[in-house]
Amino acid sequence: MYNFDITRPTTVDEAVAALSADEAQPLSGGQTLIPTLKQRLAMPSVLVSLTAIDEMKGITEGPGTLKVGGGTTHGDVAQATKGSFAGLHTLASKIGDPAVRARGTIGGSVANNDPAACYPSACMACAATIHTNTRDIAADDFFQGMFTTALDEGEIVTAVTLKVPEKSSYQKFEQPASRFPLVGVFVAKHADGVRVGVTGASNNGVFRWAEAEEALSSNFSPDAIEGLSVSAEDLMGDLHGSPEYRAHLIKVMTKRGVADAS
Amino acid sequence: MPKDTGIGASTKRREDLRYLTGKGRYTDDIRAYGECAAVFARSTVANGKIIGIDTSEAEKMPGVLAVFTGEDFVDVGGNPAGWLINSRNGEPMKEPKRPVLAHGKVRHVGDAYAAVIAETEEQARDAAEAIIADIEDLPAIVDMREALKDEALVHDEIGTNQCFDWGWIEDNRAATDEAIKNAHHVTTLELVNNRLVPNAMEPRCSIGSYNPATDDYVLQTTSQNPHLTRLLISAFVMGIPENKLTVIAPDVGGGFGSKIYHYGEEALVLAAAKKLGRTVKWTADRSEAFLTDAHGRDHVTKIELAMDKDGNFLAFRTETMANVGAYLSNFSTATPTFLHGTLMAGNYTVPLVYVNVKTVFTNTAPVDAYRGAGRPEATYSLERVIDKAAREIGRDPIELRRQNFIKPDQYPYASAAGLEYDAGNYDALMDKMEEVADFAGFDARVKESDAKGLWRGRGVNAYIEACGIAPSNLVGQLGSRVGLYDAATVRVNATGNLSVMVGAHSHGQGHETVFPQVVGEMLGIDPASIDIVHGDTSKIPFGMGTYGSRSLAVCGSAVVRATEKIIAKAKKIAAHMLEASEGDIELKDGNFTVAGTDKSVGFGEVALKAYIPHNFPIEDIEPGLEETAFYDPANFTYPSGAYCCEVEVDPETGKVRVDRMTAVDDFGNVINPMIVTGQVHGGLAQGIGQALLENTHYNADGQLETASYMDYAMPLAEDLPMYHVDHSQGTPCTHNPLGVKGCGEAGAIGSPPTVVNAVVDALQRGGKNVTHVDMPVSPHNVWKAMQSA
Amino acid sequence: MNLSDSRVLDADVATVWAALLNKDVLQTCVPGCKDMTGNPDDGFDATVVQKVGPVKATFKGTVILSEMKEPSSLTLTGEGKGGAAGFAKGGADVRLEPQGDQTILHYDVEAKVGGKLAQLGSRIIDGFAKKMADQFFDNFQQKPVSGEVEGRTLLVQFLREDLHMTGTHVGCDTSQCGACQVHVNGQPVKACTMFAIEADGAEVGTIEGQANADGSLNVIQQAFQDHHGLQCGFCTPGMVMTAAALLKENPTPTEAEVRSYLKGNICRCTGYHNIVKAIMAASGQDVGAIAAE
Repeated sequence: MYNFDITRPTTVDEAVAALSADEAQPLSGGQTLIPTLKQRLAMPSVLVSLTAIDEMKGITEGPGTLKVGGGTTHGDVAQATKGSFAGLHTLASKIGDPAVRARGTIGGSVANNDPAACYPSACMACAATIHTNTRDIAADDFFQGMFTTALDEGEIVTAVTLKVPEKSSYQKFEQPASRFPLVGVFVAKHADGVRVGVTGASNNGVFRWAEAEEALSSNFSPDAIEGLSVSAEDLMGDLHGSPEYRAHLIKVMTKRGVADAS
Repeated sequence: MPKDTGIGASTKRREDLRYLTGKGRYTDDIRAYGECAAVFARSTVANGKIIGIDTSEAEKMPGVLAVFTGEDFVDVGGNPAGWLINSRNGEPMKEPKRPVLAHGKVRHVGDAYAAVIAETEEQARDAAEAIIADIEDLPAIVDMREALKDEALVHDEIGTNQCFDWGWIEDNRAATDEAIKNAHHVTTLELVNNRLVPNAMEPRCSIGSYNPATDDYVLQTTSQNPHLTRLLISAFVMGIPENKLTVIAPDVGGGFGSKIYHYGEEALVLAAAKKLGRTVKWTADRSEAFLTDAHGRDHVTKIELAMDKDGNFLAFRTETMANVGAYLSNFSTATPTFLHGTLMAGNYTVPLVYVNVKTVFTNTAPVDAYRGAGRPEATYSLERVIDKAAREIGRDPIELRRQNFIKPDQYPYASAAGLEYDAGNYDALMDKMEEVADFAGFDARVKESDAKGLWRGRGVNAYIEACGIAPSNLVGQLGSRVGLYDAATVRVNATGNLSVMVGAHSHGQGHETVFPQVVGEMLGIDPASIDIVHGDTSKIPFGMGTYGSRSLAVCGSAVVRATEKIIAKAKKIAAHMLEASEGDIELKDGNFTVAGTDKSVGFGEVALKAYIPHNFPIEDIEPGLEETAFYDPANFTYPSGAYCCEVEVDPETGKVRVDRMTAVDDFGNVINPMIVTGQVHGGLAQGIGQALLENTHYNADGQLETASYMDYAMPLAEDLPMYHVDHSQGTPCTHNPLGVKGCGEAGAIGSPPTVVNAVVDALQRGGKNVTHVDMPVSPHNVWKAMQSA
Repeated sequence: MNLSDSRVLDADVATVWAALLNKDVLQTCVPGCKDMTGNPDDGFDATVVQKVGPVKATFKGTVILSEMKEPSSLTLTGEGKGGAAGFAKGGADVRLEPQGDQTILHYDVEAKVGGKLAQLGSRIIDGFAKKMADQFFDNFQQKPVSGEVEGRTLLVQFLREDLHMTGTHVGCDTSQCGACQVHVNGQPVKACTMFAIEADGAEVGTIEGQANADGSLNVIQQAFQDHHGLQCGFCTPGMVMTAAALLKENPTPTEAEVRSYLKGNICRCTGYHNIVKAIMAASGQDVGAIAAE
């Protein structure tokens, strides 16, 4: 690693102030950033650790919503959603491994917007609102392509509010090495329609599969999407799967999600 | 009641105590006063001409003590290949120099062209980045077929990318061609044996130190065979006299072949230690391990099997291109030849075998022996083509194999590939396998899988391998530049406890537990009073290290011989003490008794007498009780086995899950069943890993795309089942004193074809006419195969 | 009574000295200490719960550091009053001596006990004082040693290079192999993917602290030995730490749950069979049925 300083503010305001320094970078759970730093692929002057900010931690239920503090770990989300929010519980309890789940946070995940991160698919499917220290942003506007979000320099994800669906499921087909999703599909059946968030597959990062949403909104059954197909155009191709394979998997995982939703 | 100690007992491992409490001492755990750090500057291009390397900025950086480049090592030797192989036309192989640091050209991504020594590792890293390397990027030579066109060269000075073109057995070539031409049926299969990265969990690490007053060097390093490393550094690379160089391999966190070889980093830390008068440490990170550890396998093969109308095997013929990477690693020329071609008759009475191997230089990391080394390649080719043949002629794959097996009454058996098998019983292994694998329940399991929408398939395999390498006489004829014996010293201390110095190195195999079981049983004393000393050239007579499943068969035999000498001498001492004739002394339960009397002395008393030789027949017997033996085996040992795998294939995604894995092996006699079983487990996981997950991919520019665990798929706990392992059908090795064979590599040799055979079976049962899927049988590869079936 | 002994600590003298002055370290080392406030200059106030035979009492007392000769010696004196139970007071002269990378800590303890405690008999008094002193220095030897770290220091570097606790290993750069797994506040964490500074104030558990107090293997470690759950030993510390976290969360896991929980721990030697078996055996389950040979 190159050298840098670390600060550990205890409030959002202090963190925002610290992030105004030149080349300052926020550090959440660090499960992506620290390996990056070790490879000398990032050169911050100061890392602003967000892990000591209590106001960013915790989960609160609202009317039909779940608000998750940006600094809440995957492990805590998994615990809190057991039996109440099937899709999110599956998603959170299968990210990485137990040690990753003990450190990694939802805020870090959505702010990083890795094209194979799990959380963005839930945010899209559950019409999430991303709260920052300055504003609220709808998930549809927040995720802007691979590793790109609506966040400004120095802006922090303080919480994420998800609309709790009537039924949901998260289906992850793992890339054989990293065990990140090669394709991850979050299916959410809301009172006002079905939303399908897809991660791992597209060169443009997380997206919603509009045709499936439409078909499933009128008939929430795997058969409803039997006749649909996903275009391989603009899907990712790598050692572990061609665009065509990913397109195929999106449909398979979506069908399984519909069948499994609870 | 099973025994707790001695031969045949599953004695718990004593080494576990330190590993389980964080008190293991691996090389990177060692810290010396005044230690400084080495970091290497490595090529980012696969093939490049070094125009100039400017180290002036780096030398001025904070903490920097020295910077080395290839220029500093021009006058020292190179790291040699251990086997000289001749081509079919009699020409010796092409052997380019492998320097400590690249000079003139860089030849693969990760090839080190400079090294920085600094007070701290981060300082050295900072300085390594400040080195300005002017390297002209040349087109990368990656694909073996392209490489053989010699349009661009990895080594300009040898004028070709082909290291050698080897034929085995050359005299059988014409007859084999003829047999195939005239055969009733010929099955042909083209396949790839995928390139693997060994991935011992402990990355390599080397510490060099030097004492200018005595001119002594010490190298502490992650090695499977410290004596060989010393020999290579002394005789070939640096010219340090062997008596001035101590090589120590402390606790080593796995090897699997990758730590057999001498690497340039070891020479560099020694050179730097001498120049600076400081202890210099280098520790690889995982990325460096991927880029620079010797890789394994990487064969492209076409195999043909000729049969008569009854399914009798008439001939096997193979053509293989074997990648050796950018430089010849120490065993790289033996692995695709004598460890591969000689096994190409398998367990079968086939009369003719012809193997052709072209080894090819490419701009990739060196390729060398990895768990199994050559034998997995042979087994995979044979056992895949036999499976395909059975399907083509409508025969049961097990029955076809049984029909062609060598029978128990045919030993010793001279195989068509040039080896003399000493013992075996392949039908018995197959019978046992059918029982352990629960063939009876298979149909019911197929139905259960069907109900889940999954296709179940079953694959089998019969393998033989040659290990416990090897008779020096034989390997010498085959081109080895070293002998392959081993050595042990048994030292009985005055107070009756023992130190046993062994040439084999233990890095997971449990020697510290197993060797005392043998010695303790022979002497009739508690193994707890016997300690093993290994991994230090200053303490051990000599040794050729641990690889090729040789520790017990070769070094263990040396231990037996040395212990026999101890017994012989102790009997003389006891005879003197008991005033009896030497011929009347019997050793039983640790006591020397005059036959037919109750006169006896204990082992401890004899030991004490040897060291306090008051009233000692000094004319007949020297004081002391210490004996050394070197053991050179008469032959390889030949473990064999019958394996079975059941998989479930998800027809929608192509994902394969191994549901049942059965390994029935003949290891001859077994000293510690718990450890043997553990060795098989590990081999199975690596074999299943090769079959389903692991792949090493260089792109057309020679960039390694699978250079971390993000893209190199390691088998995890959830990818693997509980295994069914049996070694009840042992036929003892006929030529070593313990009757043992080797067990370290079997699992990795036997399992890959078993898994792939099972996948093909599942796809066929699912109605897909797929006859082969190359490894790794990843979901994507299976899906593609189903799409085109 | 007087007693003298010494301990070898796996840290250099400066680190040990700093630890002796550290309130948090002292608090975790004083047997039964529930609370401690103060600083090295003014002394510390401590609340200690102690049980001696039939007596269990809460002592409120002070700990004073004096005769400080940095970094080689100091005197620790303490006095506690436990109400009806009586009082205990004592002092220890502590001397630090470097030995390579390690430190030898010599101590001479003098203890006085009064009140009901004293009436239990000198046999118990001496034993109690010795036990208290031994426990304190045992804890001090094994447990928390603190130091200052550079910002970019990873927790694993801090453990290995500053504390010389090399049981925690480094096997990859991408946070996947788990050879560095430790516990931070009881949760499994990869020490290569956390900065040391973020463990400030946290309780870090490593393989070195897993054995039983008498040095014998704990249940999980013993199961790994019994079932041959390790070969080269390099991944083993991480495996043991992960297993401990699993069994705390899920005392009787199924085979599938064990395998899933090991997702972040790579072993290249064992093929996992015997690791899974060992963990299930450590949970008290009969492994004969699930792991036929």
